[in-house]
Amino acid sequence: MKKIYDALIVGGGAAAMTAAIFTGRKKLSTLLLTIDIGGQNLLTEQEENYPGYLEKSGPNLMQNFKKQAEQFGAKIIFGKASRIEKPDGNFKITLSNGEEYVGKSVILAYGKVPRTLGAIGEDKFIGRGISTCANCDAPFFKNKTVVVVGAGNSAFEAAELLIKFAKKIYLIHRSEKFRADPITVDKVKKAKNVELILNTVVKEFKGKNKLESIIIQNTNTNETKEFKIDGVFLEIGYIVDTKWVEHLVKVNEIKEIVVNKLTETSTPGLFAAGDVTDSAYKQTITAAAEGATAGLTAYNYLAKKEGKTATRVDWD
Amino acid sequence: MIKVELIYTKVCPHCPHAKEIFRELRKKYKFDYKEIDALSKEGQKLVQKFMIMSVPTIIIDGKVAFIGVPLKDKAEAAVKPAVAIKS
Repeated sequence: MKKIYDALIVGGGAAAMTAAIFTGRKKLSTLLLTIDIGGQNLLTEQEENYPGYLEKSGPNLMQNFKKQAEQFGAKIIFGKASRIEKPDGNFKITLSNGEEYVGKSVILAYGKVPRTLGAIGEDKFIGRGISTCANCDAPFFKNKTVVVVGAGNSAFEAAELLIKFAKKIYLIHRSEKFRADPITVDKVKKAKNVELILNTVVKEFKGKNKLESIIIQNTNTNETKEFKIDGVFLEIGYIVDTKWVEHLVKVNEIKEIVVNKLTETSTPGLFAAGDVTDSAYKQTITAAAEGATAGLTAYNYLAKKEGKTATRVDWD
Repeated sequence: MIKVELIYTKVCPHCPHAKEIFRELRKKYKFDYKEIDALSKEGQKLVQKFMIMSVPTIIIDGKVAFIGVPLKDKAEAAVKPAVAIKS
């Protein structure tokens, strides 16, 4: 007979790990189902705004979260959750490899995934010239010509990193407005090996065994141009994958899970925390706070169900 | 024996996860396993030979099997033909 966990947590980033710390401290049997440890923090070497953390490495911060969660008994299974059902009072989550796990409560805290362009040839060249991780792959483009697509902090931080490696960097963006912090924009703009190509989109990726060129289009004139390139870094934001849970939760217009202040979704026993929700801000500290709330709310849900004392919500 | 070479860099945030997967599989299955820094001499030879542009890249028996972190079940399927250490 399958073990029934008190709390199944889908995800491995700040929200998920914090939820696991709080469920663990309440002595709830906790299992994390995740594809990695750290989520988006794996890509951050400038974690400057997590209070009390002066080290800056996002991955190291997440390893500390993991150690703490495991300290309180959390178990971790690596895998991609692909189906969720509530056949009786409990939840059953199935991974993409067919493994099934059962829990009395579930916390969805799996964050977002990198957005892709959907351009012709894109799938063919992922890892073969197209990258979504400048930290990972910048060294492979030493003295090469690369493109960064995007206009937010991720794009400008990627460009800033690549300045040290690449011979030439083209930063391509579909409009003239940048969302990145002005200080980073200025640093990048001043670099001698950076050229901005604005009002432009990438339409196609071309090459044989690796990426060799791209076709770009000006959004004002519709004029297209092909130019040779060694690599493209896609830094165009993140999206939420909620298709597999939409039958159990309400989502907003951009498919984020709608939750109340206690991280409750529209299904009793199912909670959500962090970037996967409709929370206003997507920061490590806000994700961690939601994870803590979800952990406590999951505990209260189970306590009420089992006739035990719940955690007080407010101070006297 | 199946030969697995995992190419990584020290700053690659996803590489530790890929290493963890194969180190765990190494406890279950018998295969030749090596982790190679892409920026080392040995790594650079492999980077040139296989046109590696992203890490982690996992080479199995002389062919690029995975670019990026593979799902655990796919990694296991790739090394499973080897004789299991434990039943």
